Parts: sequence; C-alpha cells; structure tokens
Amino acid sequence: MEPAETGIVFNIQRFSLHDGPGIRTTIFLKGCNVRCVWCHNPESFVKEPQLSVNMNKCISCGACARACPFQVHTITEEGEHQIHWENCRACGECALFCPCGILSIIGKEYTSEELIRIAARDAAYYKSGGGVTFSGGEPTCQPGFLLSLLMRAKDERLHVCLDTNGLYAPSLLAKFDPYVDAYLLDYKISDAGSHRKYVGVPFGQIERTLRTIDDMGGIICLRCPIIPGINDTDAHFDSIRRLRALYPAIKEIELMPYHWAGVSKWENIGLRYMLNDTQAPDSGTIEDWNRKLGLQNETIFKRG
Amino acid sequence: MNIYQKNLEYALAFTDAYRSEADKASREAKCLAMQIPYVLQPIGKEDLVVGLMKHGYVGFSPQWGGTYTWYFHEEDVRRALNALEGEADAEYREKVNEMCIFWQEEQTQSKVRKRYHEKYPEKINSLFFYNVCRVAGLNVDLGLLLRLGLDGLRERNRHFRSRNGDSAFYDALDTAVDLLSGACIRYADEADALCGAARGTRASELREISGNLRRIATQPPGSFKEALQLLWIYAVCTDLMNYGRMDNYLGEFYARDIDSGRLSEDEAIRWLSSLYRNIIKIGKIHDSRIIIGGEGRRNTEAADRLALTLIQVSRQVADVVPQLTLRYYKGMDERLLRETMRNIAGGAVYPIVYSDEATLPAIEHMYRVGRDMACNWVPFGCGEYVMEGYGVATPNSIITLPLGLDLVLHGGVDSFYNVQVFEDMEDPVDFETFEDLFAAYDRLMRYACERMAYHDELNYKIAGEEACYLLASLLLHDSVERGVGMFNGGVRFLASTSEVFGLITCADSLTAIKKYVYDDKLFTLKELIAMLDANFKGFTRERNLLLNAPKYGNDDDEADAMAVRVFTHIAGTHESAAADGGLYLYKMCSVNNSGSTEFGLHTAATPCGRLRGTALSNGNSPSIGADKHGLTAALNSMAKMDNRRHVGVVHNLRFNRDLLVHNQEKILQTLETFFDNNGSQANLSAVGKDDLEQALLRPELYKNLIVRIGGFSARFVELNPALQKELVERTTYEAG
Repeated sequence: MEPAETGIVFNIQRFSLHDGPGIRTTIFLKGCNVRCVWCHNPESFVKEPQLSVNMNKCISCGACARACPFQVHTITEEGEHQIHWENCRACGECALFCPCGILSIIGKEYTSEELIRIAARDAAYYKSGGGVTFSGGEPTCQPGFLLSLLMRAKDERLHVCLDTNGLYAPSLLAKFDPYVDAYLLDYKISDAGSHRKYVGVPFGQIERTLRTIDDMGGIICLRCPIIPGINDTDAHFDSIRRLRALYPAIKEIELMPYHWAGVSKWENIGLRYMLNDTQAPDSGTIEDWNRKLGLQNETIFKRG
Repeated sequence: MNIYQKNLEYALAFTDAYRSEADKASREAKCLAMQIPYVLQPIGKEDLVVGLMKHGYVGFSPQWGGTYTWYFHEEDVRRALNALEGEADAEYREKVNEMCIFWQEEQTQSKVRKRYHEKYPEKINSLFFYNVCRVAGLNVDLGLLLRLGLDGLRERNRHFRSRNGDSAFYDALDTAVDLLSGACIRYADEADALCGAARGTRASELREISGNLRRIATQPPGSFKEALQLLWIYAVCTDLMNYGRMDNYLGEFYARDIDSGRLSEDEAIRWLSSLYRNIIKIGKIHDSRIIIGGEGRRNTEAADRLALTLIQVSRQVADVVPQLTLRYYKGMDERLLRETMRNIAGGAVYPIVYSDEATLPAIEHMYRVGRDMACNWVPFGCGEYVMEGYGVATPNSIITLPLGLDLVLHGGVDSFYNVQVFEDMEDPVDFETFEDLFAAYDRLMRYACERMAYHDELNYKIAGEEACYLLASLLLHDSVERGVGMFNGGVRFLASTSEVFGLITCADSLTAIKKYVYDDKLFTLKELIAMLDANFKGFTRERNLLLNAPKYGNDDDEADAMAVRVFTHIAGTHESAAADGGLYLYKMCSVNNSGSTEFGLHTAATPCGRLRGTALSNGNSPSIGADKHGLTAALNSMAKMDNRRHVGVVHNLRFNRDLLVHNQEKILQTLETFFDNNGSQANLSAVGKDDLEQALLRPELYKNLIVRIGGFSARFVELNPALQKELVERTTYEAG
C-alpha cells in the first residue's frame, strides 16, 4: 500500500477531550465499512461529500430550488420542501443561496499535509499525553490516506490514537501499527446473529484484530457502546470481561452509553433512524453497567 | 432649608471658595476642605467598613458624571432652581445664574474643549472617533498609606519639604492629610453617636469601628480592620475607584491577625463583604478593580492567603463589582487558579485572569523599565494597564474601526446616517489594489489618532494647570518627592490610552474584501459596496460567501494575519501620533465595554457579512459566533497579537459548565498553556446559552444572573436587548 496524499474528511475537532488521553485533535475520515443502527455519525457512512439539510428550520422560500443546477430541491404547492437525494452532486450552490443557513455539504477533500499542519498547531496543548486521533467513519476505509496521515503525524512527533472498529482483515493493521501509539478499538456486540443484524457485517474479525494488536505489543482502549435492548446483556458484559482477561493489550475499557445526540443527523442526510423507541440510560443504569464490568479507575485514556 | 436649597447653597459657597484663591494648590486645599465634609454620607446600618460619598453639583474629582477636575453640572443646578419655585427670589436666581455662567467657561472640561478646538476647529459629525475628559483609573500606592499612616504621610511631607524648600504645594498636601484625619474623626464621632442607640453586637461593632477610626486618624493601622478602614477613607475622599493589588498591601495585616487569633476567617470575610458592599453602592461598574496574584508581591505567602479569601468573598457576594482580577504566573500557588475555576463553574464571572508571563515582558519593553518596576502593572477599569503608584493611563479617546472603514468605502460619507463627514476623501472606485484601499484607511486612522493624542495630552496638561490633585499626589511617585502635583511632573509615567472598538469586525471585513474583491475577483468593490448599502437584501449568496470567508478566531493564517495587521497598524498610528508629544506612552487597548454593541447599532452592514445595526466584535474576541474550530483554535488566534503594542485586550471565553466541572484539569492545563504562550487575558464564564435564553423568557427568575460583557460585568436582565442578543449568540466552548 502506498500513502495517498489526499482524502475526504468530515470533521476536524480541536480541543477534543473524549477520543484518547489528554487534549487532542480528532480527525474524522469519511466512509465506513459497517452500518451500526445506533451510529451518531451517520454522515460518515459514505466516503463522498454529501448534502445535509436541517429541515426543522426551513422556511420553504425556494432559494435552494432556484439555485440548484440538478433539480435536487423542489418546493411543492403546499410549501413542502422535497429533496431528491439521488440527483445531488454536492456542488454546494444551494447552501450559498439559503438565507437560513440550514444547508451544508459534509465532507471536504484535504491533503494529509494540511491536516497534520492543523493538528500540530495545538502541539503546546498536547501536554500530559494529548495528541492526534484518527477516527471516522472507519479511518481504515481510506487506507492510503490514513497511512500518509499517520506517517506525517509521527514526523511531527505527535502522540497518535487510531479509533477503529477492527472489522476487517487484521493484516491491514501491520501497515499502520508502526505509527500508532494507542488503539481505540470498538467492541460492539458479542452475539453473532445480533452483530449481523445491528452492525451489518459478520462478527468474526474482531477477536483476530485484538489478537493481532496484542501480538504487535499495542495498547488498546476497548470502547464498548452499550445500547439498551441490543447489547446490555450479562452475556455481553461477560464477554467484555473475558476479552480483558485474555488480552493484556487491553489497558482500559470505556463504556459508551447510548445517547440521542446523533438522531437528527440521520434525517438531515435523508436516512431513516431505527432506534426511535430506545431510551438513553439514566445515570443509575450506567453506574450499574460500570459495576458489572468492574470499571472504576480507568485513567490511562481519561487522565487529566 | 430643603434639599435643593442646601445643595445650591453649597454650590454657591464652593464657587466663592474657588474664586477666593488664586494659587492652585491653596485653592484646591480650600475647596477640598469644603467638599469632603459635604460629600461624606452617613454610616449605613450594617456597615463594618464605613464611608461613602455623594458629590454635589460642583466640585473637584478625577472623574465624576462624565467630566473631571473642576466639574460643574449645570443641568442639576437649573433643575434645583426650578424646584425651588417661589422660594427663590430674583436676586437669588441671578446669583445662581451668574454661577452657571462663571462655570460654563471655568470648569476644566470647557478649557480642554476650547484649547482643543483652537488647534482643530473642524466639527466631526460622526461617532468614528471622539474624546472625553477624565482621569480614570487612578491606582496609587496604597501600601505606602498603610505602612506610614496619616502621621507618617505628614512626616514624609515634612521630609521632602525640607529637601525641596517651602511651597504652597506642601502646605496644601498637609491640609489634604488633615482632611483625611478629619474624615476619620467625623465617622468615629458618628459611630459613637450611633452606639448610644444600638444594641448587642451592633453596639460593639460600632465601638470597634470608632476605636479603629480614632487610631488611624493619626497612627499607622495596626490591624487588618484598621488597614481596610484607612484605605477606604482615603478612597472615598479621593474618588479612588480602582483598588490595585489588595493582596499585596493587605496580605500581611491579614495573615498576622489570623495567625495571632485576633481575627477569624469568618470576621475577615464579613469585613471584606462590607467593603464589597460599599464598592457596589458606588456603582462604578466599569471600574472597581481589585487585583490579586502576580509576581513581585512583598510577602507572597501572606498575599496568597488573602487572595484565596477574596476569591471566596467574590463567590459569596456574587455581584457585578468589584472586578476581582487574578494575575497568573508560572509557579503560582495552584489553589488560586483552582478556586478561580470553582467560582466560574459556580456561575461567577470573577476573578478575571491575566497572565504575567505574557504581560511582564511587554511592560518592561513598553515602559523601558526593569522587572521590579514592571511588576507594578495592574489592569484598571475595563482592562487598561497602569503602573500602580507610579503612573496614570486614562483612556480618553474612543475610535471605532468599522465606522472608519465605512467612511473609506463611501468617500467620507457615514452610510448609516447618510451624512458627509469628510469632504476630501478618495472615491472608492479609485482603489485599484487592496493596498490603495488600505492606504486610504491608514490616512483616516492617522487623522483621527493625531487628534486623539493631542486631546489626551491636553487633558493632562490642563488638569495640571488647574489643580495639583493633592490627595492622589500624596500616594503617587514622585509628586511628594519632587514637590509638584501629579500633572506637573509628579507622576513618573504619564501614559494615556485609546479605546479601540470593533477591531476584529474591521479585520474580518478587510480579509473578505482582500480575498473576494482583489484576490479572487468574485465581485468588484463597487458591487460589494452596493451589497452593504442594501444591507445584503437580495444578496444572500454573496453574504453567505462573505460569512464563509476566513475569520479571526479559527487559527486561520489568512484571517489572523489580517487581524494582526489591523491590530499592529492601529497600535502604530497611536504610537506615532504621540511620538513628539509630552506623553510617556500613548497606546491602544481593545478592552470594550458595551460600546461594541452600542456603536454597532449605528454602524452599517460590514464586509465580513455582519448586518446593519448589529453588534461589533468585542475586544480581541472573534466576531460574534465566527469562531467555529474550538477552544484551542480561538486561543491560538488570540495569542498572535504582539503584547508590546497594546495596554489591554480582552478575550471572552464562555465554557459549557459540564466541561468545567468534569474536565477541570484539562481546562486548567489549556489556560496555563495559553497564558504561558503569549495569551494575555481571559474573561472566563460558564453561564450557558440556555441560561441566557431562559432569562430572556423569565427575567423575574434571573435577576441575579451576572454576565461578563468585555471590560465589565452586569446583570443580564438589565441589559438592553441588542446586548442581550449579542451575548446569547456568543460561542460556548464545548469539549470536542
């Protein structure tokens, strides 16, 4: 694999406090190999830039319909703003004409050099373990670009976290590993049937990925989204504990309780959200989960 | 005699006293001897630190009611006379009228205006720049007062009198000290009188207050409470509205009394709270600074202990003043910053934090002094720097950059009011390059700065011709030492400040012009001006482009380079305007009170995409809502300005409260990094957008919600709607 200089990124989050130790810059690569139903970044599913519409604030003025060269927007006689997503080429012209600021294009091409330059600007703030995190989507879906980013990050002596789902051939990781200081590895569902149903792909690879990282001597924070009604089961918690016991590479477990923050993003890009009936857990429930997993002083990745 | 009669009688008597003395020192002493007993107000029911003043229609003050030195409020006099109706006969009316006519020319402000217009006769029909007459932000050597006491000050006068020779000035200084002693005795007598009718705790409090006052009428203060009382008596008699490095000059009194068991923590807090309430009553929300922390304190350990207590008092009293201000430095007791964050997370806006790391080297450079002297710097008022005990640095000119840019883009017409302000400015169609445009902007700024610098120097010069500023001179080096009043060569650093408004709005506008008109050629300057004149109506696409242009506050090289250029340029036009004058230093600051919003109400649409009549940027904070790349990006932009070119900038940092509670370590680390890397100041706040929106809906529930605006704080529900809107729209920093 050759490093690729350019790629598509949908967010650059500076002063990022939740994706690895210390203060970080998290770079979100667009494109994902799985389709988790609870995803709070559904705008990361496809690699290409795409239109997002916050319909709640639309005043049906029709400026977008007049601006669009591809008939993506129509305003019906009843004043309904309809969107023909399939026509959209993400040119962004409609967004410029919108007086309400509700239209935007998500995803933009960057060079790896540009991105690392941005990340390095905050180097003074990366004291006590901070650095850069590559996330997604699934960052390995742009493997050449990711490799280029990793190499440049290391040239700048930045601490590097790779936030990945591990659901691919683990051999891919060998390319990246020399440039990765720590992995934020997702562990989603331990039941094979549910995994296929809610994540969209087979379960198989995750343990192989874990083993690979373990063999390479990597450090892992195992990040476990817990979705009520889907994986908040004792069996799943058992499985998490078992993995921890089995793989010394897992230095820490981070429980990521289900939340609603991403719901509107699904609608904004024309997708249907499936978990409308799922309730976000209360703090008591979260404490209970933490207890079941024996999580108390998980401080490596969360430290000040 | 009714109150109007009484006030008019005083004004007439004061005027007679003023006219009866030709020597300015003797005249001032004589007038102060009338003024001080007249302005002192009775002891309040719960006062522990006593003293309050209320000025008359005429008097002497460094700044009162928008004017200074010998001031006269004719409107108040006329109102009082009208209120007397039949009680005032024709002769009396004539006498009052004659007094008004006398002061119309004689009040110091009139003399400044007259002399200014002799040099610059043209009338400028615009808010673009203007001048005010005052001596704001007096910060004297209160440590000297507390070490020597009033007898010690007399002795000090005697010492320097014998060295420099007899003069009316030294006589007048002695009178000034006598007046301070007299004020102590006056309040002691009142406390004794009140004591008779008081019961229990209050009676013993009054006895203690009286005893303290009688001692400090002559002796140096021997306790924390006496020291607090003496500084307050001085402040009240002098109209001192900024209190300098309180932990430095009071810290040892505090520590000694606590350690000896003479004072309990609880008592200290009660006494300091009483001081706070007095400051609140004075109601100078743009002043009232108390400084804690910083390098170069006499006894760091004692000072830190008092500083921590002051942070606690600010949390408990939780009002808009005093503006408690922490000077951060590397190696500082870390509890100071932690307790600060605790206040902020709890909804307080104090302390405001400044960095010695960024500021001390800048002060050394600007003032051409060593580290020891530089340590005397303090921010006063909305955040202008002054050398405590050694300098004066009042901000007396105001310049609003986007209004200047508007004039440049309209050939001298103020496009908001459609008024021709300047006749001979270039037609904007002649600007073939961006540099042509910037050159016109430069010429206009130089025109304004020349006038402002001249005015600011005149403001001091005439104050010095009219008065010695006896009470301030007592504690300002080197007045007593040299035997001259503060404005007659008595203050070591005669500096002045100009308040710059809308700096970032102007910079973001120039970035957009340069990029779209001159670099990318998306539209012509003429087309852009047409968009501005239409307030972007019919130009949504173009406005969105302008809004999407690079903006300061995002660590964007292009936008920040322009912000640095506009900042450095306006700093330079101020410096060079005063280069040949008598000011030690003339510098710009970008500290901003509510003016950034209020001037915005009178400013046409700007090329950064801002609509007509909306708020301008505040201080050196980003254009409202324009900082979209997170906290560190904003901080990096803010740290790019050269601290050697300004005497005060402010940065408003509003945090999500959960962030402060759950990630305190990371926030502290971030702020320390900012302060260690050229970041000079932070207005910290955790009052969320939600809180503000709720307060708009149900103001009755949010009467005590205090917000930081720029250089001052206020109760949110009492602000005007435009300012409320601006505050709601400011960025809240969240964790990514």
